[in-house]
Amino acid sequence: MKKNKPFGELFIRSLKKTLLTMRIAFILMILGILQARANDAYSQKTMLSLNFSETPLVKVLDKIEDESEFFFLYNEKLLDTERKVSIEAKDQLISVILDKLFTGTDVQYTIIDRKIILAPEYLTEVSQPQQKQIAGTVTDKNGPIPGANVVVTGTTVGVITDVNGKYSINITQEAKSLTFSFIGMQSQEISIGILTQINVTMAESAIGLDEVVVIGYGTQKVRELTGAVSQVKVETLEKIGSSSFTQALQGQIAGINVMASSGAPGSTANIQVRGIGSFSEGAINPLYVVDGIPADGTPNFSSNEIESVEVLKDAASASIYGTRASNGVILVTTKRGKSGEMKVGFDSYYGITKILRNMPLINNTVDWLYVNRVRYLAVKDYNGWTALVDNPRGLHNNTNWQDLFQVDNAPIQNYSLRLSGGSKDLTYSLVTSYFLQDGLWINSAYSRLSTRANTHFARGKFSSNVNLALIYDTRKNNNSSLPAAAIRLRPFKAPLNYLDYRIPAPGSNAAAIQSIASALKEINEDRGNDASISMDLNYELFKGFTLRANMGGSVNNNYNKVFQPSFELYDEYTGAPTSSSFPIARLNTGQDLNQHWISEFMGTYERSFGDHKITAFAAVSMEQSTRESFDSGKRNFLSNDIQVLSGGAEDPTASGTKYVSSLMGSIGRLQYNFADRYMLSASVRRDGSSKFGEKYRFGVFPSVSLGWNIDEESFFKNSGISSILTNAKIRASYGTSGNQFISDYLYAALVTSGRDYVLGKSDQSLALGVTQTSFSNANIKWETSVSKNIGLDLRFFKGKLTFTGDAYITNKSDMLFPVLIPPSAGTGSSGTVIMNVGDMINKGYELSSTYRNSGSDFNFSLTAIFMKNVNEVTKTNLASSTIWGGSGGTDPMTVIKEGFPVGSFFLIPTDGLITTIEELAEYKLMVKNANLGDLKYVDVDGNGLINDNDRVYMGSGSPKWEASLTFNPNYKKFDFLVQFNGTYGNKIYNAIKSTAYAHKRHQDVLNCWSPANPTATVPAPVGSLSHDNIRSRSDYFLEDGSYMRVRNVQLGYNLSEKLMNKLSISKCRVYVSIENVLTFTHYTGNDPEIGNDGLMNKGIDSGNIPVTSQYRLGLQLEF
Amino acid sequence: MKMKKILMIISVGSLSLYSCTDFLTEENPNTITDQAFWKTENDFTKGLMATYNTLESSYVLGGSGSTAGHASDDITIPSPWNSDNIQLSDYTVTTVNSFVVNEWQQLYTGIFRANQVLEKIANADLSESFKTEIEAETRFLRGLYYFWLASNYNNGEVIIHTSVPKTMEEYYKSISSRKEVYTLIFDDLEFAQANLPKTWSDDNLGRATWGAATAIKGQVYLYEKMYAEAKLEFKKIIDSKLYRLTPDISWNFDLEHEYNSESIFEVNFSDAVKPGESSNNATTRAVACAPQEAGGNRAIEPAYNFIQLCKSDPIDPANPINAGQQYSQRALATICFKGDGQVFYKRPTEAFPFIVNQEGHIKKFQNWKWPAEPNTSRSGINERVVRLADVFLMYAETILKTSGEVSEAIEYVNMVRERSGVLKLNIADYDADALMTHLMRIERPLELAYEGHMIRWQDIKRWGIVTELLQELSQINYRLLPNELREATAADLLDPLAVIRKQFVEAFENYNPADDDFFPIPNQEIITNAGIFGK
Repeated sequence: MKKNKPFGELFIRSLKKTLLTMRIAFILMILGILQARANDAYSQKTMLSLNFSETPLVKVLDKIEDESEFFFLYNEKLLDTERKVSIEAKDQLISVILDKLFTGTDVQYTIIDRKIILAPEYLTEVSQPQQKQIAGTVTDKNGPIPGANVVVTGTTVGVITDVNGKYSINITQEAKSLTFSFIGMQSQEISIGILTQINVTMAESAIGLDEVVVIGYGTQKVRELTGAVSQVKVETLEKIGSSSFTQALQGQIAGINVMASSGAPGSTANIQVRGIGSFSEGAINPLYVVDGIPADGTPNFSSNEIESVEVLKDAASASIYGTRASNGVILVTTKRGKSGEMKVGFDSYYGITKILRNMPLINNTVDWLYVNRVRYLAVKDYNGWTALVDNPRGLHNNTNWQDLFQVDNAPIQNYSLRLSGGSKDLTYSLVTSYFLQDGLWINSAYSRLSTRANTHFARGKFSSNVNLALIYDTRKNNNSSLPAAAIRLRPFKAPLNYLDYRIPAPGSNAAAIQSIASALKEINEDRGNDASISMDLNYELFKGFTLRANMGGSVNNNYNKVFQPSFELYDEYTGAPTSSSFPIARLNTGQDLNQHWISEFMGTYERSFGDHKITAFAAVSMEQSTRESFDSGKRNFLSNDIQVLSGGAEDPTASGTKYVSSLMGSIGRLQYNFADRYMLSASVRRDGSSKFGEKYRFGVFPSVSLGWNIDEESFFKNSGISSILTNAKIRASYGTSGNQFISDYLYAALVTSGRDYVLGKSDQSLALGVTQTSFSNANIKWETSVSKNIGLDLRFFKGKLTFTGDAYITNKSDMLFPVLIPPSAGTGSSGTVIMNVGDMINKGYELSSTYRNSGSDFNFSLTAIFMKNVNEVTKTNLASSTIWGGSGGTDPMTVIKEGFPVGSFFLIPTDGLITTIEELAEYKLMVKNANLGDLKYVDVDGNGLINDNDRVYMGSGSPKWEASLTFNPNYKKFDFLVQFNGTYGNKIYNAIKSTAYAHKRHQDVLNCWSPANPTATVPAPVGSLSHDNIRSRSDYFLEDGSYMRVRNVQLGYNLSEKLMNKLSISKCRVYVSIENVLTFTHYTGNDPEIGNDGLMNKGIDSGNIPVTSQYRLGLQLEF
Repeated sequence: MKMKKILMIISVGSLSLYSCTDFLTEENPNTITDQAFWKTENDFTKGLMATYNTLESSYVLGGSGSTAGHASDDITIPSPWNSDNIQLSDYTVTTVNSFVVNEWQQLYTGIFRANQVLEKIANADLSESFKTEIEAETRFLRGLYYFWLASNYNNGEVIIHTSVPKTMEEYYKSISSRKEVYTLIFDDLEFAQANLPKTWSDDNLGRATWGAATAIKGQVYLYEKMYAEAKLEFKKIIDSKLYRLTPDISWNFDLEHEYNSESIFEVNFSDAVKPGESSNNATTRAVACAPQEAGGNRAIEPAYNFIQLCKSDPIDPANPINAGQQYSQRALATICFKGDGQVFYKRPTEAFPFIVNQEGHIKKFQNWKWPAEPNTSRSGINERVVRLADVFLMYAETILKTSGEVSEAIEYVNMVRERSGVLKLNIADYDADALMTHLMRIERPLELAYEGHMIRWQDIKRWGIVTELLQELSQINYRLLPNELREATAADLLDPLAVIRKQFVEAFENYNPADDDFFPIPNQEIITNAGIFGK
């Protein structure tokens, strides 16, 4: 008897079990929805036949309820149900029947779907309307427009034009006007009067100008913008299949760099706005603000929940978020409902991730032996022993460990259902998504079930938004040693069946087998719950003056479990258990609980006097984050099926921590607009943060920005140019912002317990030890960023061609950095102290341009984005002029150094290999242990020694420029999208390749230098990572990381209107999409998009991700 | 309506008046600050214990420090797969070798902890006697840590910190001269010697004593070739009558006889006070040296020449301790080897598959009387840093170097030999030089192999005999036979089926005293310490 499994897990299992089950579920889901929608038109389709004479009304109503799905709602006191009626009807609509039943009475009927409300006329606000029909044709200059909306203004009553652009609509006498709208066209409102025929010619709208973008604490029309703000709409984001919207932003916005943080399923992307924003690892991400609530870290939710994403790029726009804005701000607005009929949307896709290329390894035992023989011959008393000696069956094995550890064609799927609608006073949007992805390494997967419900209420001067989001996600993590193990493990070892609890161990390899088996069998799971709620209350105190309270909170709970089951390794020949068995299972469980709340109070005053428009805004804001965690463990379990702490017998451990940080800000902003011609915006924010000592707690961040719409000037209007250049705007801004992304409590030195000693002989006791283990800096203060921006927005031919360009200089000062202090100071090899270490500059420009061509059958848009950023460290305050960093090798590879970009590679140049005895003798004067076939380091400073003084600047992990191109043509019912992106001039240190060299496993090593292969360029094989041939201080493994990639190709087909009308569907699109179609690069590692956290590791490939392509098939429906 | 308006304004207004300072002050709930600590006697005892804790650190005398360090000497070879240990053995260490990096870092962590105690106790409002007691122990440890640093790194020219760094400049201290370093070491040990108790109560065993300070001070003098001064210190130990040799040498390497009569200073380990594999109060030394078949990693192994030396330790058949034995007690307590007829991890030695051209395993400080090392990889066996037998042999050496009186020196050597049932040396056979050679080549390695802060390596480099030893060793061909190891005969060398091996060939080729007697300063220190070579 199996135990009950939680619903979620069952659901996952059933989905994964067979594709068939999934397909059936999928079809049923669609059918269910179709069914629901079809019945909306029930009253229009259902024909009834009745025959009664002088029968009480109630019986007739009962009969109708029996015969059909209609049901009546009435108050028995107000409706004379005993009234005798006669009726004879054959195949009539319900409305006809009801008309007959109630003509001449005061009863008014209303049909809502299947509900029929009966009430006396005096109770209904509106008298029974007299129907009137209006018909006509909607055209534009190219001909009729099918699918245009015709709506009675102010209501949800409306129709859609047919293929010939014709419509006909029934209206009541209340209707005053009709509104005609179509995407890309200017909406028109036409008074009805006595007309019965209304033909409309639509004009193309000036795209984007009247669009509203979200800015910090408010919204603004694009035309009024003075800062550098970019917007991405949901339609664009939804085209990329990924767990997080962050990845979908790649190539969409000029001035932001998006890179996957890791290849693990469900991971978010790292985004950098306008170059590296800080010296500190983990302090380079922008601030995310979701529906007005600043998030802790990068929010992880699906594109399906999003309406739009705005990026505040310049400090003037961002500085309203003061202390956290120096890396830019990303505003996420989730979907809202619109008043009107309920809309239902369903989006889904299914895809696979195909592994295209892996690091080429020696997976052939004979090849492997050859390389080891070369090594053996080169070293004098290398004893020639390999584990193969003891592994007599080894020669038969040619195990490809990488294949064993990876999952090809891992599935990815997403289902999202959205309901939205509402009345004038209440609108709602409900999105539920389910996302599932299997990882590329075995034992890794991610699934997320999320629901977001947004509602808006309004009544008189009062309005309110309430947003609620719930996320439940589970993550299976592969043991992090697998990628490295795949490289380390030798091909002569037999592949192992890790599902067994008894595993054969050949020869003396038992210990090595143990570590693989235990990594493979490890169960590492995360289960997260995330609930967030936010609410704002708005009250218009008097005309133009609105008070607003904004409150929100989130609770994030993550449970982690790591279970290492016990297993037995037995001798291949004798069957006896070996001492390398893993007899004692271990369990570690822990939980993180994060809480965050914010409360803000603000007032906005908005008023126009003639050509003058003023918006004044003031706010106070308070925020607090609490992060608590505990971890517990036990060993020795009764069985591997018992995976709870109470089942463990030995060695309980427990630990826990708590961190709290608080932030308080006061904000003021003034916006002034003169005749849409001159715009000014000035803001200031004063923030206080608990992360700093009392002396440096507060910071003030002012900003100002200006805009000039030249096209409003009469000289411009009168000049001939306005017929080509429709709009032109110049923007300029100056702003400051801060950075407080450092750990809590760093300003005070702490003492740590647990540094204990043992005293006593037989009954030993633990003598508790406490000591200071790190240094503090009471004088740390804000990192500040001063940014100047100048921008130009141009629109040609009424918006057919648009261009936006921005140039900026950002000076960052007092950069916070955890400076590595010398081990001799006593805090270990990774001891750091946080300091304001120096200044940095980012300057660059970003250009983006879109061309839209519309025709009746064929139209397209083409968007090109180009961005360039130059980063330079301008000052370091440290005694040491070089701050070292970069992990993944024996030596640091990257530096922060005055005059160079942050995270620059400083490496020792090499000049080929030592190939002759003479060369060797000469080189041995510098490096005494050198051998033939070793890399020849260049003694740059000529002092006869090879050391860190010989390192020279060799580029950085940041590209010189980046570009992307999106081409989006549509032909009739087909739409197509192709997106290219690329970087130029970035360097990658291929650290994972060096590891494969050190383990003599890389294919290249087959062609290594040996006396028999004297022209080879690959250095002689060595056995140690710290040998000069491998050591991470030479340029040997540094490569050009430039690439150009066909990132996404998508082909969609929209169902014909005719069919859709029949099915009552308003949108039905099927598409196929391929991501990472082709990559052009010289980089020899796996993927040039190496996806690393942190600026010092930005260009270091630690190699967890093979090159993959994703193929997806998707369906989008709307009712 | 009006009321509402007023309420709104008040709520907004009052918020902006809310005390910012209170809201923004977050005390760390995880631990206390440096300011709040260092008040009571208890606080200082805890600070001192944290300073002791460094002794247990992995690269000080924890598992790696007490094993890998021996790889440099002439009686040890590293396992063929530990590339860092091979570097130690072949004298190709780089500035990023894990041993070089970690021993430096961990010893300085100990010094930092000591400096905290010393700095804070100076102004503490506590009894003078308590302060002196704490100061003596702390300075003993600091002196010891500096001694170990100076004996391993950069010709003894290391960085001196005697206080807790407070400013940027104080993080970046430059290296000091050897003289300055040793002056500090002697100062600390002097103070400790003068103020430490002779003994501790049973429940405080493990804390430094007068004897420990005296013996270490003698060792420092000896290493610095100040023989007269060294002799004086060793004499104090002998005269104090606080210590005597144990009847069985193996008591000095096991769990049952910790703090025995011979023990002068031990690093106390326990796998019981914090059980489990994460315990940092236990050592991984046992598992590091154990053969794989007993759950170990055999990080280091006895070299062929040392196995031969052990076999040749002459036993006194008249001594009942040797009843039925072919090999000496101390040889059998130190290693196991093919054909020793012993039981090792509950199995006959022969039952172990000697692979990778292995001929023996180390026994000292291992739980070899058990079926296998515990699967937590942790062991509670104390590291004996100094014991009386070592003092006897060092004393004998100082005699030979000063008065040259062979008769007195040989007496101490014979006490050590007699305890293990080894034939006593005949005074007639030795002059001072011969006895010194005997000490260097036979007595000290046999008695003290794999002990202390890499005693053998420190010995052979201070005597300057490394090149000479390696040259000899790299010439010897050994024949590996199924149940025996022997020097290859001329006939063996002609036998095509014979497994013939040499050791220390690479080491001899690479060794150069100027470069290899001391580790370089780790790379990380150089790159993070802007002031290391002065400004």
